[in-house]
Amino acid sequence: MNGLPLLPAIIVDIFGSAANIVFSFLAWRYALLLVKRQPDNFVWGYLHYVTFAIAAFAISRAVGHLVKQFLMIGGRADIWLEISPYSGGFNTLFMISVAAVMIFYHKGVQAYELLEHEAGKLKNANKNLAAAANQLRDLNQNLEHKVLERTEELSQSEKKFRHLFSASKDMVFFSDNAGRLVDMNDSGFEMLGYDEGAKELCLTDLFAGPGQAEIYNSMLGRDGYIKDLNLEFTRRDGTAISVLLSATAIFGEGGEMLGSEAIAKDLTKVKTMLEQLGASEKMASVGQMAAGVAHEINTPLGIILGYSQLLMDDFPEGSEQHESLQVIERQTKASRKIVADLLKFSRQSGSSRQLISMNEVLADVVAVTEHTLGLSHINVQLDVDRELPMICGDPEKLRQVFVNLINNAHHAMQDTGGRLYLQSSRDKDGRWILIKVRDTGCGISEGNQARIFDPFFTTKPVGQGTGLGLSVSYGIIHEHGGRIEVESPAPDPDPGMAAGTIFQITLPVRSAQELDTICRGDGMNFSGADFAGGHSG
Amino acid sequence: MAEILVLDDVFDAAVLVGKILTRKGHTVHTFTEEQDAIDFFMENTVDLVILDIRLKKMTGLDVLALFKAHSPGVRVIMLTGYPTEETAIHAKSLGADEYCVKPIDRDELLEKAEKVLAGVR
Repeated sequence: MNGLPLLPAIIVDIFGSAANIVFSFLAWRYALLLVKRQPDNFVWGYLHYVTFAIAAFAISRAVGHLVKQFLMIGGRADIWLEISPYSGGFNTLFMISVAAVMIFYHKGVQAYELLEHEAGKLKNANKNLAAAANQLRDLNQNLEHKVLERTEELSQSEKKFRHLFSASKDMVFFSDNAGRLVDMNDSGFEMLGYDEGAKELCLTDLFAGPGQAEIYNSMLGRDGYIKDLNLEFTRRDGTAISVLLSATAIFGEGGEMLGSEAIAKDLTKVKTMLEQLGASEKMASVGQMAAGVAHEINTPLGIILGYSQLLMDDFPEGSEQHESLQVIERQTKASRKIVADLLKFSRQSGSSRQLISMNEVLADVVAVTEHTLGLSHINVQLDVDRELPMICGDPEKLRQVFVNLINNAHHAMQDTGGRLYLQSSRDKDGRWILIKVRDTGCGISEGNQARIFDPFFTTKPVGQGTGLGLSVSYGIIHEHGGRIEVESPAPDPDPGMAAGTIFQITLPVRSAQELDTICRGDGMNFSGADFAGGHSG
Repeated sequence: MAEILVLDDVFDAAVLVGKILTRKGHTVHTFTEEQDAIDFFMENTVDLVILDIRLKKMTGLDVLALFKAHSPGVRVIMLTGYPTEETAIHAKSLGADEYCVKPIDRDELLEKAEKVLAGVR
């Protein structure tokens, strides 16, 4: 060993060892800085451990070498020999540390990767979860919206049908299987004359005829519906109204009948209208027929009358022939009167229209008839509306109407005496005038009331009435655009008096313009045998 | 005395009017056919015409219009079994002097005839 100059090697060893320490510490420090900068970075962390282990190894090895060299130089090789096994041990220990750290890298990377992988999976799972949550939230919101929408629709629909139910002018009701009316609209209660909801009603209360509720139920049970059934309902006051009923059965899921829903239309007005229509049609057709017959008879009657009058000239007055001819003339004239009445009834005879006051017409008629009525102990009371508007009409014909009515009243009271009221008034719009002729006589039976306007209908003994008075009056009032109605017994009779009969006549008040058009025939200078009424010039 | 033309589709009725007026000294020409009456009217002088409204082919109003067109001064009495406001107004507008309804009474007929004829002279 001494043979070779060892100095350079010793120097290199000393400096190399020192450099070893310095560099390893620089590397460690660098790694430390990196770790501080990115604490989460696994590689830097690992690098830090590696550099640390290397630094430790460097200290152990380099310090060992330095101590050895200095001991050698100082001539204390014995000490070195003593401590060299420790130094070698330390070196090995630290070498193992480095190796361990190196191996740890591989496992660490694996663990890191696993960790990363797991984290990635977790992240994905989280992401999916968030997406699912979002979806769920959207779904929830949508659902809420949908529920709102549906609720709104439902409420609209409910409102619509509720309105249909409550605002209907026809009766609408629901009944349960026991026949109780569980719900009925206001129109229904009104139709029956009940205050709303005043009483719990059953089907049996509703139907007028016995057993009709059973028929109703059995029809519903059989067909499931009833269409346009014409029957009568009982009102609260016991009177019956005619209705048109349509109903549908309500069935449960098992097919058992739970009840019914029904709509009923009040036919009272329709019936009255139809009856009136029928009456006026009858009047019109009878009138047409009568007019046709009357015209055909008129010509031969005229000829018979004319020739009998001519013949009369050929025989001296007082002779038998002359007297016979007078009888022919008289009877022919009587026939002519009937024909003329018929023609008046059929409204085909001439007429004159002028502005007239019905108050004056009434006063005229009373003046003419008062005396005769007085003889039968009939007291006449005339109550006129002073402000009554003028109407356009034929005064002669209208007088005839009231003479007819008063004659009938006279006939009804001739044995008992009584009172005759004549009253004029107008409706609140001023479009109609109303004239009431009321007696306290025997009244008109219900059966006869339907027939009193029929031509030739009379209750008077044969020879006392032609049965044309009221039909002629009817024709005249119609011709004037008015109505004539009868009520017997009259409501609110005077105490101690018979109820008697009221005839109410309604006549239209026309505008000035209408009057002009209608009354233009006023100045006509035409007349005829039966035309005297129309003769106003 | 006057020349009178009577037109009525019923022969007996025309003759009756004729007889009544003849007895008062008038000359009466009775017709049941429109055309015969028109022909006569066009060729002769007539003071008064008594016209039925319902005729066989024409209406009395048509005949009235024809006569008035030919001689506006002629007097006319319409005589009808079917009086209506329209025909009355129409007859008046065509120049008829009277509008009477059948069956007419002898005295009334004479009275109307005299009244209308008095208007001529």
